[in-house]
Amino acid sequence: MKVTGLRVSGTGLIVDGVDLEVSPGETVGLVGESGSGKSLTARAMAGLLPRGLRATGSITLDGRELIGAPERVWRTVRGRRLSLLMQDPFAMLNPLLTAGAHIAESSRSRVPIAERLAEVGIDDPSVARRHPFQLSGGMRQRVALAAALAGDPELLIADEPTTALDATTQHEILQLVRRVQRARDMGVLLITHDLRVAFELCDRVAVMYAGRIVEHGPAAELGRAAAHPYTARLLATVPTVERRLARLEGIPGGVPPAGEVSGACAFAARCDQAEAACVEARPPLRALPSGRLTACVTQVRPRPAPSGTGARREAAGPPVLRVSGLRKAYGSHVALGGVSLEVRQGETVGVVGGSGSGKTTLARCVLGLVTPDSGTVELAGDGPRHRLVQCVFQDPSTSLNPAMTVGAALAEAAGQGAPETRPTVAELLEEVGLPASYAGRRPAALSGGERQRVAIARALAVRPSLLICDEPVASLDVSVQAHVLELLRRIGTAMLFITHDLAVVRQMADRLVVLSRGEVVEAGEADAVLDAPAHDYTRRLLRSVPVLTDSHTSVASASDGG
Amino acid sequence: MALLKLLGRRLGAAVLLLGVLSTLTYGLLLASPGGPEQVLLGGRPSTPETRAAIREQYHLDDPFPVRYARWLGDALQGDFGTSIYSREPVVSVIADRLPVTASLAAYALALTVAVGVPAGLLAAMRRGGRLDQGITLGALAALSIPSFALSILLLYGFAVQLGWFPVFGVGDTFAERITHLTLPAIALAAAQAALVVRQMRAAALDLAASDFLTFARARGLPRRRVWTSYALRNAALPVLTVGGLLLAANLTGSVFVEQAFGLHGLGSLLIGAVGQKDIPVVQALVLLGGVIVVVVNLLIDLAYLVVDPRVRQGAAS
Repeated sequence: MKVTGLRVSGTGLIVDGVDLEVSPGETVGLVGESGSGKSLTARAMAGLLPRGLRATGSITLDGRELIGAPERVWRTVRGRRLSLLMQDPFAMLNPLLTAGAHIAESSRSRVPIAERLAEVGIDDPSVARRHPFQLSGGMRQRVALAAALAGDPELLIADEPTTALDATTQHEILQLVRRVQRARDMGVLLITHDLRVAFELCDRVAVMYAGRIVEHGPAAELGRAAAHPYTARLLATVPTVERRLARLEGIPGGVPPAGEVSGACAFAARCDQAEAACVEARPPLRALPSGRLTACVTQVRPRPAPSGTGARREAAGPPVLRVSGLRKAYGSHVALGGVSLEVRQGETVGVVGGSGSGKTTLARCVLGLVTPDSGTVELAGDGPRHRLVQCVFQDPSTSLNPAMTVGAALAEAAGQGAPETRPTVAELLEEVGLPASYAGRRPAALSGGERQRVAIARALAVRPSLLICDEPVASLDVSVQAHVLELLRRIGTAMLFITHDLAVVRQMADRLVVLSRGEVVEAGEADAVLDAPAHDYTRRLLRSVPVLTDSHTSVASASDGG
Repeated sequence: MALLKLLGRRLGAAVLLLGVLSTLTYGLLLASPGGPEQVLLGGRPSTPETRAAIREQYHLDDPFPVRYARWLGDALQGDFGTSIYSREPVVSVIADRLPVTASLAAYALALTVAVGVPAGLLAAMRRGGRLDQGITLGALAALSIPSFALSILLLYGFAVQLGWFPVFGVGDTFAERITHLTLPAIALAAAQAALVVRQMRAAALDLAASDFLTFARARGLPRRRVWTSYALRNAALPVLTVGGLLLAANLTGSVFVEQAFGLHGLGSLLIGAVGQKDIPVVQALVLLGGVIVVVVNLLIDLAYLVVDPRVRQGAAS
């Protein structure tokens, strides 16, 4: 499949001139943050743009032009020639059909369903008779993959196929995609926001920014030395699981709408080596040696590699939270099987585990939203529970009331706290690094990272002695993640930091508790646990983290000579 | 097995509900002004002897539970006593009227579904277009016209002016019945179809944005398959609930339309019985209404079990 000059526009321009080619047997990664237009590019390639959006340019399959082709033609292409695998395994399957029915309806040959299931690593043929709601996220994604492959397509477009899954499952699914791709000698276009995933799986990687491709090249080359400042900065923001960094660096600013920067380098406003030439004309993709393309007029200047390891804080204060023997069961399902842990003043305790490990139930018990079956939760200090402990939730777009201005939300939250320590809205906004003028805005007018800052400010408004962070950066782009994590580091309130992301927890936690199926399987100093995991489950979690190898992380120094 | 258990539970609940309803219904007689004898005499002049005879005949001197049990026992055997007004057995009075209301209700429901579901789907498909605006506006208009006003408009337009349909009565043959009931059924169905249109439109819009529909298209499934097995089946779930409730409402609430078209159905029977203080008939009708609502809801639950595997699973666990 070959894409040339693809533009997608609705009310504004969203994708601005993308060239891409995927050959049989090749895995191409399309990497970008939210708003880069990568998903719409994928949708356009399957002829499935949402209503109101239009694609222009050229998309050809074996020389046959598909843009402007009637639905009838697209239907003969979809399934048989190309197939699209989507992000959310919980929403992708028809809730009323069995797994087997999904595969059977998309199949065009007489391959038995059991064989199709076996191809995606499901050896239990009874899965075919189950409905999606009876399957785990990973299983659903496998079934969806089998259904997507049932028409034996030559090209699979996978749009963030693992983002909704936890780390270990993510790893398995990616391996599965790779295995299937090799076995079938199929072309794969992998859309992802995660550079680590792209490097792990792809032959070639294209980096998208504000609706265009800014860099394109073989994955290994691109990982060794970024040829576009955006890629370099993006690589630098990926948290590493290997060591705790002294400073987490994000990219300031946000992605501009593609339509506003079509005559210039889209990244110029955020780039620290921008020149006059960058905004005068749009830099074309120019060829570099070894088959690479970059849309930067200059060479990428090396950035100082993030220095050393961050000093760990010594927390010898009194405990603010003591949880002992916490149990909670939902019917026959044991969510927490006797969990004990302690958080001391000024300390961040990480809680890690896959989905179903009981992390969220633990947080809810501490918050008092769930009543444990047995065990105790002791919080230091007097007063109602909501003044002692507050929570920052995963998704700020749903945790903030869209009808309330930021100022009103913060004032309301502050009003719940003790009068003598009540902060003003302006103080709260300043604490989280937002201008005071944001008080008059509503959440819809903020970016994801800004919303999460507001959510953090809201949690801090009652001056709690403990802050629970439940996957606070999981829904944010990497370039924004770093800002939010750095902010949380600075706050200094004792924190219970819940995440499935070991790289994030490495950057945040002083001590670490590893949960598996409601039990603490390992606990200790964060560095000690991550450097030398003692329990098998921890080791498995660590293995499933896609790692930027040494060559990737040393991107800046590698481009020294170039 | 689990299904039977669920069914048993639902039936148990239904029986309990009807028990409460029947107690209240039976209580109607006692609460009526002038005492039960007066009601049973139907306002005719009486002597102490006739009153004593009535008390004897209806066992009015027995304690309440005993009387209730006897009444319920008779009712279960299909004996609701005699109508005070017509002196006929209540059951035969109702049996006389039921077919009219039942055919009207079924006809109206058929119209509701036949018009509402496609119109709602169409509106969702052409979201924001002229057709969508037209359908949405039409639904709003249909919702805001009271059924009796619409009845009169229809009568005047199609029966009096154009003369396409008869003005009143139900006709004798099946074909006659259809023509006779068409206008009443439209009057009854208009507002309900509007509800279904809105429900269907919202459900279909949700569906159109759903990943599983996109994924179905991405696999190149034939359009018919996408529409039936994906769109219609999933959208059917909320519509099923509404449809069932509408059927129950039709059977028990077609009073205005029946009055307007001079149909001798349950609605006009109820109005007459209330006006004449014909308590045995009212009792039977109230109980019948309760039974209809309970049975229809039970049927909806069963339909859910058939359509939605998640409910089946929930029932089994």
